[in-house]
Amino acid sequence: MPRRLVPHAVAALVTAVVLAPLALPGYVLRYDMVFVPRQPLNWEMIAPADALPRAVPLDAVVSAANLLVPGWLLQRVALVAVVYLAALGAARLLPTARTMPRVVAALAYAWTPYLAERLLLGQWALLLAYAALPWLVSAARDLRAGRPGALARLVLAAAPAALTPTGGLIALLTVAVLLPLRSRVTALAVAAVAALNAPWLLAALASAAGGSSDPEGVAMFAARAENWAGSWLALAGTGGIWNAQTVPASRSSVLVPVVTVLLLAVAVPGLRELRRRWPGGADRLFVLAAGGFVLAAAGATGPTVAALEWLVVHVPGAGLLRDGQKFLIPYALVVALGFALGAELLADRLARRFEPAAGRVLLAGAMLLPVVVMPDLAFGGAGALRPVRYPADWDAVAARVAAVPGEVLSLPFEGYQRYDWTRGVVVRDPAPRYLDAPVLMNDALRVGTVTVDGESPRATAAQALLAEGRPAAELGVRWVLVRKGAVAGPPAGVLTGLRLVHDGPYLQLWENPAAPQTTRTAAAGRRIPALAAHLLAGSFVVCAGLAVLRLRRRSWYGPRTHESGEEKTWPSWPPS
Amino acid sequence: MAKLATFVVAAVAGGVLGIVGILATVGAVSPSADHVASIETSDTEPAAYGTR
Repeated sequence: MPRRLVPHAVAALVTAVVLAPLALPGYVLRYDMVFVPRQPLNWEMIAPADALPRAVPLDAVVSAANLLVPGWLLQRVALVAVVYLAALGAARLLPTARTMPRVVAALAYAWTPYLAERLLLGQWALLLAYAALPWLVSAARDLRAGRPGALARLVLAAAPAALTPTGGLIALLTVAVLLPLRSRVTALAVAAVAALNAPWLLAALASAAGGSSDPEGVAMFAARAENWAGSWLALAGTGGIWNAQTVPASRSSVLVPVVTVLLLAVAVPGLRELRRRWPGGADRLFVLAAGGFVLAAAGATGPTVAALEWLVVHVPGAGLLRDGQKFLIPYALVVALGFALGAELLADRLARRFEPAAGRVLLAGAMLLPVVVMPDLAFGGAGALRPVRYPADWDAVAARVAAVPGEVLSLPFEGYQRYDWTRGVVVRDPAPRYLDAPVLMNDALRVGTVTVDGESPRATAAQALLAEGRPAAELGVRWVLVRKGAVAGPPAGVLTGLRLVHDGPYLQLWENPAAPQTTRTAAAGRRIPALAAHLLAGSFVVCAGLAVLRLRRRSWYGPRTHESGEEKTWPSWPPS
Repeated sequence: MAKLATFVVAAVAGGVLGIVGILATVGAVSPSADHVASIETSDTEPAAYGTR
């Protein structure tokens, strides 16, 4: 096999091993990961009227893609892209001409606790930012070096990251930190990535949800310990997600902290080598990684907890910082690159001292280490990503609602629930994505026995009304959807005045004959700017794609930096 | 001498990977209830987004 194809083959193999269960038919529904057969494109996807735009522009992009591709296929394309591009991106970014260290980097970045834990929490769009980061760094490096097409490639790499506010923010910071200050090119690049962030920023302005969040979320979503070594070492190993339900079981092994220390010990000389090979650029990447680590650790201990609590209450949008572990993405990339280069240095030393085979054995061990320490990422997190089928009730209810559009109240009034048909897996309410209508759902989040309040004033009002047992019809909704799951259904008084129009084994749909004819959406003066921002971001991506195509590069993602057998061709970063 | 060194490197690397792998697999198969709850039914709250 040609050497340049080896990283592709490794990326494909890792993807196949991690996502093997997706060969089965159906949808993987898990926590935040909700794909539906055909997601409608409506104003709620572009500018949510009452909720914070946590899935903007993600929902609009998925809805638009759903016009061409069915949901089950779209889900597979997205998840394959996450794992494949993460592995390949890290392999290509490593400043070396040798193949085995590239493979070490691929596995060290694509087989991480971060990827496993966020995948098991269903945050696939955040993982697109994870997969995009090596490509974004590569494009920023080329932009500094003045290579043709680098700006267009930077926009294309930032685009998948900017599908969520967190990813977009990480992409924007990456570009701002890696590119030199006071440069016209930097201004252009920052402006382009800011434009990619415009949809969620303008949607936030269009929403009736307040910008402040419940400070209780800081403690609930803070990084947590996964074994005896505490939360800081869990973060150092790129783990430490807040949710114990989405942690691979192997993370509790007593040896995990030891392996983390070993990995970091190998990475430290590798990072020194990275500075030597990328003068200026590596330092900037380290700053980015350190900033991400500080954010990740801020909610866990110390005086920063109080500061974060103050921020999320008083600074609009600061709620993004509550789940700080998600900002570990640049740190994970730096550790992967350092580990691969450190292993390469060690292998060189062994090869020089003894024979080349000794170095190759060590590199093979470094390749396998991430897999061996967390074997249960294989096969969809040891079976956690098994696809399921939606009950036929969902199509029947969607058709009813589409025939007479109007706001839907989704009961039980819980945003997340486990169902028999998901094999007991907790999943976000599919109604907002399955039904072509605004859905009033609870945006408060239960973490154990603690409830972290949501931001939607309308959801808060609905919660108060339902808690008093008053009729749901008083909310003025057209439809009430009752999802039969592990949570008990609503008391009879809540359904007073409603007419049952669908009664299936999994769903009931009740109609409110007295509902007003108007559909609740954000005011036109607010949603039009959000739509314009979507179109602007989309036009940037289309123009960048066309520019890359016009340049007729050998590959869309970046120029080849070396030929087979060529030893020292990786370009240095221009001095800062 | 060189061959012996390669054998030693392979033995050490294999030993470390083996021990780590066995312990990780044992942990994955029988997780500690204190730390890990990736089995959904261990959470008694049916509408929880997660537990710490």
